[in-house]
Amino acid sequence: MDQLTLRQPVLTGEATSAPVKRGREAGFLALFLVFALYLIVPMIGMALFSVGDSWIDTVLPRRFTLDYWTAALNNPLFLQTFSRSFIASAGTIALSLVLMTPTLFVLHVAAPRLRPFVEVVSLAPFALPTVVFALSLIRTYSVKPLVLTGTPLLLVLSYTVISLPFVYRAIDNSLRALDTRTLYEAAQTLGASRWEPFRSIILPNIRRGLLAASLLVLSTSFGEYTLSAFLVGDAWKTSGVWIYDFWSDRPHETLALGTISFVVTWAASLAILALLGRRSASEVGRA
Amino acid sequence: MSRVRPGLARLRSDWPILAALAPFIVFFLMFEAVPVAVLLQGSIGGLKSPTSLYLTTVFTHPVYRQSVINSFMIAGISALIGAVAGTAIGYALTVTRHTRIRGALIALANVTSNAGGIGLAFAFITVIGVSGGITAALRLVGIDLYSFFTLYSVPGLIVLYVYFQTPLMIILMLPSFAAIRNEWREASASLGGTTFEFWRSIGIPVLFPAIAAGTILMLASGLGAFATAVALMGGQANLMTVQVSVLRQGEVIFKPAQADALATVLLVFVAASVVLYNLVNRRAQRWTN
Repeated sequence: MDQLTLRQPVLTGEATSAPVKRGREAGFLALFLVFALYLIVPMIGMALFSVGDSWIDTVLPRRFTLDYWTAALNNPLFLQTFSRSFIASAGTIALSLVLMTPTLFVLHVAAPRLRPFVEVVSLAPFALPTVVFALSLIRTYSVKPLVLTGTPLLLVLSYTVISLPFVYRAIDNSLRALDTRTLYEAAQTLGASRWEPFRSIILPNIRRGLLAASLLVLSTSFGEYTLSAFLVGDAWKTSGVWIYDFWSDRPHETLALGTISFVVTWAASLAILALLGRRSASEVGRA
Repeated sequence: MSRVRPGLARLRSDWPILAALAPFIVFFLMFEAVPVAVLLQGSIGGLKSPTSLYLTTVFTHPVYRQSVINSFMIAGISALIGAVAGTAIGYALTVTRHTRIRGALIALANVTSNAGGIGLAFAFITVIGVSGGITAALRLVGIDLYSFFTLYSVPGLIVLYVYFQTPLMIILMLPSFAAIRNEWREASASLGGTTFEFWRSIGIPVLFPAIAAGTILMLASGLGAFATAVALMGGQANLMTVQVSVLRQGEVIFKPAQADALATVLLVFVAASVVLYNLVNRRAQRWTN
């Protein structure tokens, strides 16, 4: 999957003349510019709105102020809801890694024939719309014997499910790159116990993959709205739900918070890219 | 030494493996399989007195039927726009000589491809909302955007969906463009083929499965999108996802079985799209691996 970085772009024809190429490059640049503006301008709008005053029917705000940021950050709900979002993401990262790392390790060294089962189960959440998943959890866990709705535990469990495809890909790719089975068998030959090589050889060598998986979980779960609103709502309000509620009351302050959320998720995505070099995060994360 | 039958011996040698996989299997059963099964049995009104009433209502009741049509229309149109734009930009990124711009745009595509959600909707309101910055700028040059467009509508939703679908399409297409080898091109040229003939008989047939797969995946993601729509239009957006949430929340029209049925239909559509994506994508990957 690394052709993109290893090989130079190859689609340019030999016969294309220099002026044609120059004209084409100009077209590309125009396309890139339009696309980049489409992606970036709304984000600039959001940031400006959080520091702008009386921005109604004008191209740019008339006055700039940090009052909205101060007010938003001093709101007691800020610390409460944002720390809850971090706790939910951290809990999801912990549960995902604890659940999936040993599972995939065993799969690689001892049970490759179970791979199709684990793969289908891990990628299935792709095919499960968030609203549908949320509703199915409410139906199952708002009635006895196991009532979990309204608890952060259910939120973490649900985030773990929707993160499964990303986590599976990230860890599976690193185990494959390491040639886990050969390493494990070598360690066994040298007299290691059953689990010792996992701790001392495999884990240290897939640190980057585990970190990438963690960042992917952070970028998908932090400030998440749908599952949070359905499963815990006001009982354990997270930043996503608060931002949604806050918008009609205080739009400027809301977008200060929105900006923070975007910075967290963008930073996580960029860190994944940096971590994996030019091998794009998508190859780890997506099908 | 007792004699054991081969099957049992195998089971015995396998038990540490099964024990190691047990947490995963239990997790799968509790939080994927059982909830979906509960939802499915809810959609037929329970196993004691199963009925297809709720499922057929999804297609006969005017409001629900319209939500199905709207969901497919918005997801379909935005997937097609995303496919065209993503393929064009993916191609341009593959062949351009501006490698720095390429790196920056690929990074940007990576961060924006899962940017959907409430923050995105609010961000768009600040620029092309009824009193947004670009709306005002257009008015200065004599264009009244809101005479033919509103953000809080189907076209507005499409603008938002395309925002996160185009980057996804680019990321999906890059490996396929990279897989078109220069040697094929040279071979084609040395046999007397023109550029047009190259694309018609080699380039497009090789790329087509990837383009189709990407479009189907965007359709699935569009059908399932909820937060973006609800942030922009509240309960006003008549989409399947929004109707599911309305049926769940509304005190007056709370109809659990109908919510389950609508959710089941949505699940079937999205799951079928994802399965189709996998089938087509397997074909697309013949060239990239």
